[in-house]
Amino acid sequence: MIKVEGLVKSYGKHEVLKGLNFEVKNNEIYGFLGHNGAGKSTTINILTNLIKPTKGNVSVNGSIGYLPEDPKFYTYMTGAEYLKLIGEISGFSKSNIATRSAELLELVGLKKDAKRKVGGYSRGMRQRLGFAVALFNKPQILLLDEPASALDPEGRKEMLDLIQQFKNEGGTVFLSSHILSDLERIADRIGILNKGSMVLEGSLEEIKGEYLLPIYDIEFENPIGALPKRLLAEAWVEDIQVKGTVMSVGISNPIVAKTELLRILAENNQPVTSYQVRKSSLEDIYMRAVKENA
Amino acid sequence: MHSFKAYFKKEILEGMRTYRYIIIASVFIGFAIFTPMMLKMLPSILESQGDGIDYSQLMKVTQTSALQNYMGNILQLGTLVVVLSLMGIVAEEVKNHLFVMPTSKELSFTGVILSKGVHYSILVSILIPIAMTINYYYVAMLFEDGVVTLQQTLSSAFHLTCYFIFIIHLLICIGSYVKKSGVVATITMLVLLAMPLLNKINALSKVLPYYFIEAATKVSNLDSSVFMPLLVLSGYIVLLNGMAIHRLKTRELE
Ligand SMILES: Nc1ncnc2c1ncn2[C@@H]1O[C@H](COP(=O)(O)OP(=O)(O)OP(=O)(O)O)[C@@H](O)[C@H]1O
Ligand SMILES: [Mg+2]
Repeated sequence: MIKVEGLVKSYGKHEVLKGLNFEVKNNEIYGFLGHNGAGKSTTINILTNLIKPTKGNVSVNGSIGYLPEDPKFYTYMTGAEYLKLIGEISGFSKSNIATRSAELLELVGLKKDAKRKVGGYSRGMRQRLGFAVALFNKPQILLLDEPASALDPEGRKEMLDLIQQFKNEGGTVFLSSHILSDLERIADRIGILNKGSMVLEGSLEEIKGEYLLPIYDIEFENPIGALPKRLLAEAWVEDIQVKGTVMSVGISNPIVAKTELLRILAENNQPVTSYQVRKSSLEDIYMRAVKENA
Repeated sequence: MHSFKAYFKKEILEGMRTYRYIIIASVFIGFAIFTPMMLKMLPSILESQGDGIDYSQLMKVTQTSALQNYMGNILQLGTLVVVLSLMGIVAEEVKNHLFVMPTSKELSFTGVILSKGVHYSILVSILIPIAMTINYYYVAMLFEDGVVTLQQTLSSAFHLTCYFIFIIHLLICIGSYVKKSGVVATITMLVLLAMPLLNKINALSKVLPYYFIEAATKVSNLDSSVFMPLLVLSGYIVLLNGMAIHRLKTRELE
């Protein structure tokens, strides 16, 4: 469906994308994750043909619907009038435009604002209207650039549900975000982009299986002191974060850690008030992948 | 063709909602009424200063000179208003990323550019003859000497309209290359101001739309000498549209 090979984009000397390779299969939701400035929008703009790659091959097979990061409209038009313009550009008949617009305005929750000028819409409302535009001619592929960035928690959930529904009806989705939990809920596969390079890619299960390592949260009665330094010297410790009297120890070798950590804590001779193991979240993996490639 | 129709309707909506129609029309029609009245009243205003000079004898206004006076105003203020209110028609749309979503719906830039040119050409083709007819009515009512016919007035209106159609296409073309509407306006004004100078070069005078200004201000009936200039104007329109379409098709719109 979407295939990207050796994609490079430079602005002058600044190389924004440094040889990206990835593939989005039919009827899959691909989550594209990265910090601000990582190159997500640049990638999507190349997929939509709005900007041209400096090097590399890009193929997108199928009709696309595109929702830009910050969709822009003619502000003097109402939401319904803008959808009409889109319908007319696409060559829809008058009656088809009317039914499709009504259907979509209902779907994205803009029915009661359809006759208001877009200039008076909030950012979240513009994003909803943009999503309706993307869906208008029933595309096979949706390219969504941070589709939930301006939405409130409820709106976020609705948006994710709509994307899931689009997939259930046979669609393919390429979706960028810097919020991992959103992608975690719906993405079949995830690619993590950092400074123009893909640092991690795989299905949710793959990533979790390979990278989900335990974290021990240990709470002390008194200030922690030099213990983190002592632990970091151990090969089975990945990283340590300290917040007040709570120490979180990321583990790279769970089997050794099981016995060793308790032993060191006992030697340390400081009162421990709680001791818990949790699996690291995708958020932790994301932070780690980005850090390792910094 | 879908894009042409869709954007033609969009331009009409834009003209109404942004008050562009009202602004342009009120300048053209306002001056059509205001100029002859001013010319009529000026001598008596001056006389009221009481220096005993008969200004109405000094400033002999004929119908021809009144009409020319109005056209002079239109060529200055009318041009300025048209340039200032249309300087953003393509430039602002590119700058504000307004083509981004339509482009993902197979928007045809040929349709977009043609619709803008046709739309505003129709606007001036309706407005200028109406404004000139209104002017004619007041001129004929207020002044007696040097009679001008309605036919001559409409012939002048036709020439002026051609000139404004050139300005419109110039604005559209420059707007496709430059994002800042202020720069679009400046370049357009410079081109228009350079024309009377360039026109002094004999070889150039045949290929410049400046002919239309000269023909309009002459106040005479339409004759066959207009064919060549019309052909040249068509050439400019094709060239300017072609350049604009090519630019929008090849530039990065993000
Ligand atoms: N037209 C341009 N000219 C120069 N540099 C650009 C241009 N567009 C983008 N960049 C640079 O490319 C890099 C990636 O930008 P991009 O918008 O793709 O990031 P992003 O991942 O979408 O970030 P965000 O999360 O903030 O949306 C940034 O460093 C940006 O400054
Ligand atoms: Mg972005």
